[in-house]
Amino acid sequence: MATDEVIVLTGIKETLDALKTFDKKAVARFNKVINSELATAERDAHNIVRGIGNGSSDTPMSGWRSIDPARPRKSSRGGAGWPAWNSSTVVAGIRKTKAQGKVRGDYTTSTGALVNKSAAGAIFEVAGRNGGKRATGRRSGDQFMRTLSARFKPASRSIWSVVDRDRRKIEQNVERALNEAKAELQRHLDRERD
Amino acid sequence: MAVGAVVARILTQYSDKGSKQAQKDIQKLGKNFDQFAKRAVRAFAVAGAAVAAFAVKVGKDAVKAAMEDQKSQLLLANSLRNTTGATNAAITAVENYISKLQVQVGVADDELRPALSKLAAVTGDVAAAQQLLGTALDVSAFSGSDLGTTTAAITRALQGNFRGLQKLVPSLSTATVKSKDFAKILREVQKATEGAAATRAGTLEYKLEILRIRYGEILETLGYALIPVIERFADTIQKKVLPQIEKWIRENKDGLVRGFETATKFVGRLVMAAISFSDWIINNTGLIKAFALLMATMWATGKVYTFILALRGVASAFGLITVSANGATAATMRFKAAAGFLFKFAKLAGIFGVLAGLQGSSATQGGYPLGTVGAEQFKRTQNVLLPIENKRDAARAGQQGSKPGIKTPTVPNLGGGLDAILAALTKEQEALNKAKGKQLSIEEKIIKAKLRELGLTLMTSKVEAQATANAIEANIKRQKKIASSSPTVNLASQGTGASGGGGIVSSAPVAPVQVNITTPYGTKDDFIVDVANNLKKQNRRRIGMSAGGTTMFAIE
Repeated sequence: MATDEVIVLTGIKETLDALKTFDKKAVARFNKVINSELATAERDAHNIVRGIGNGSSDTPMSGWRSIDPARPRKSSRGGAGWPAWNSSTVVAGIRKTKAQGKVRGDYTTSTGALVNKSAAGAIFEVAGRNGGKRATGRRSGDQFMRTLSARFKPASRSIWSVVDRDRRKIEQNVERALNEAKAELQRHLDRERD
Repeated sequence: MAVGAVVARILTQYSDKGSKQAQKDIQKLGKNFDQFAKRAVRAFAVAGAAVAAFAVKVGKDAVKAAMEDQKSQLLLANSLRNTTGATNAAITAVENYISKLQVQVGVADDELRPALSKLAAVTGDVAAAQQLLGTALDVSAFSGSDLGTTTAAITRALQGNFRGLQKLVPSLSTATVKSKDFAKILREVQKATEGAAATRAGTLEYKLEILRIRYGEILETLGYALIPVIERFADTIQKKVLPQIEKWIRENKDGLVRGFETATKFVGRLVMAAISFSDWIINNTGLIKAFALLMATMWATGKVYTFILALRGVASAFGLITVSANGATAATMRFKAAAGFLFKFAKLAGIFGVLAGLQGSSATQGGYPLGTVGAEQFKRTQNVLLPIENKRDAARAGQQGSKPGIKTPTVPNLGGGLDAILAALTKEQEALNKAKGKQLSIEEKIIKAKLRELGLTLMTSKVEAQATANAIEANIKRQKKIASSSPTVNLASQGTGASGGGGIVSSAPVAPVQVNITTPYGTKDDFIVDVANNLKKQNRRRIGMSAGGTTMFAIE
C-alpha cells in the first residue's frame, strides 16, 4: 500500500445500527477498537508534547515564554500576540475525535481523528510547513522555524507525526474490526433467516 | 471539530450525503439540460420561423427595391442618352458616381438620379450636371430642403430665374442676382454652402441613413439575383398558363354565348310572366332584385372571368327551362336556387378572382365549376327537384298521349309559357291549400275524437247537405214502395221450430224462411243500423207485438 493511500471504510453506521439489534456487545467491541486505537494515538501525541523541553523548562525553545504576553504585539496572530507554551495546555488541546465533520469532495468524511486545538500546539505542529513557498527574503520567523525543525524534525511534529506513523496500522485494525462486525451481523442475519 | 485547530484524520468513511447531493445536482442538471433543450428547440423554431419570414420579406423587399432601382437606372440612362448623347461607358461611369455619392452624402440613388437627369437635360453635359448635383446637395443640406427642390431651383437659375435659389440661399446678394451671371451666382452659392452636404453626412442621422442606403444596396443586389427567377415565373404564367385559359375560353365561348342568349330569353319571359302574376312578384321581389344585382355586378366588375362565370351560371340554371318548359314551377324554384347562388355570387364579387382561378378547369356541375357554391347549390336543387319534376313530366306526358317515361321537350312560346306557368302555379297553390286543409287543428281533432266516441257526426255544411240529399233520395224510394206490396226477406236460418219469434240465428240446415216484414211504410233498409259478423243488425218495429228486441237477419 502506498503511503498516500487511504482505506475508506464503508457501512460503519449501517452495520452498527443493524448489529445493535442482535448483539450490542459486538457493537461495543467495534467501538472499543476504534476508541482504543484513537486513544493510543492520542496518548502518543501527548507523549511527544510531554517529551519537549529539558529539565529547567518545558518549552520547545528557551525563548518561548510560558506565560501570555502582557502587551501582545499587534502584528502577531491578529493582535493576540505570541501564544505562551504550556505543556499541560498543549496536551489538553490534543484530543481524539470521532466527529464526522463536513463531507469532502471525494464523498468521504472522518470517522476518527486527532485534533490539536491549542495555539502553541498548532504552531509547534505546523511551523515551517509552508516555508519553502514563502516569498524570498529574510523573515523574522525564519530562524525560529529553522531551529524548531532542527530540534524537533520538520513540520507535522506532534499529532501528524503520530498519524503518519500509525495511520495504516490503525486503519487496518479498524477495518478488521469492521469486517468482523459485518460478519457478525451477517451471521445474525443468516440465523434470523433460518 | 474545532475551528482553526489542526486536524489529523486517521479513519475515513464513505458518506452518501455528498453523493445524494451529487445525484440531486445531476438530476437538476439533467432537468436544466432538458429545459434548456426544450427552450432551445422552441427558440430555434421561433428563430427559424422568424428567419424564414424575414427571408421572405427580404426577398420581397429585395425584388421590389431592385425593380425600382432598375427602373430608376433605365430612366436616367435614357435621359442621359437623349440629352447628352452619353455612351454606355459614360452611363456606367455615372452609375458608379451615383453609387459612391449616395454613400458619401447619405442621399439615396433614387433621389440622385432624377436630380442628375434634370440637370443633365438643362446643361446638356454630364460633367456639368455632376458638378451642379454636388452644389444642389450642398444647398439642400444648407437650406434643409430636399434635393428635388434645390435641383429645381438650380435648374430654373440655369434658365434665368434665380428667385428660388435666392430663397434657399438667403446670403446670395441681390446685386449678384441682378447681374444674372449664373457663373457668378453659382460661385457665391458654392461659397456659402460648400461642405454642407459632407457635414450633414457626418451627423448621426445621416450616418444611419447611409447605413440604410447600404442595406438598400444589399437588397437591390439580392433583388437583381431574384429578378430572373421572377421573370421566369412570369414568363411561365404568360406562355403556358394564360394560353390554356384563352384556349378554354375560345373553345367554349360559342356555347356560353348561346346559353346566355337562351337563358336571357327565358329569363325575360319568366320575369314577364312573373310581372303579370302580381302575387308571384310580391313573393319573389327579393329574387328579382338579386337578378338585377347580378346583372349590375357582372358589368360593374368588368372582369372577363367573372362575366364568363356568371354567364355559365345563368346559362346552366335557366337552360333547364328549355328542357322542361312545362315544369315551370320547378323551373321557377330552380331559378330561385340559381338566383340565390348568383345573389351570393354578386355579393361575393370580391372573391371573383378566386373563382376565376378555377376557370381553367373544365370539370363543372350544372355549369358551375366543381367545388363552387353554385355547383353545390345546383346539386342540392337537382336532388330535390328532379324526382318531382320527372313524376310531373310523366303524368303530363300520359295526359298528352305521349309515351310514358319520355319527356317532351317543348320550346314554349310566350303565351304557352305563361299559361303553363300560371297553371302550374295554380296547381301548386291548390295542392298547398289541400295540404293545409289536411292539417287540422288540435281543437278540431279533439272534437272529432269525442264525436266518434259518442257515435255522432260533426254536422258541417257538407255533411248536412249530404244528409239532406240522402233523405230526399230515401223519401223518393219510400214513396215508390208505398204503392208496392210488402217486401220479403229471406232468412238464412231461424232456429229450430221458430217461426219468427226473435231467436238467434243458428247454423242448422233448415230450409230458408221467408218473412214478410209487416210494414207497409218501410223498407228493410230503414231498419238496418249496423253491420256485425256480416249480418245486419236490425231493430224491428213493434207492430201489435210485445216489445221487440234486436234480431239478426241475413242480408238477402
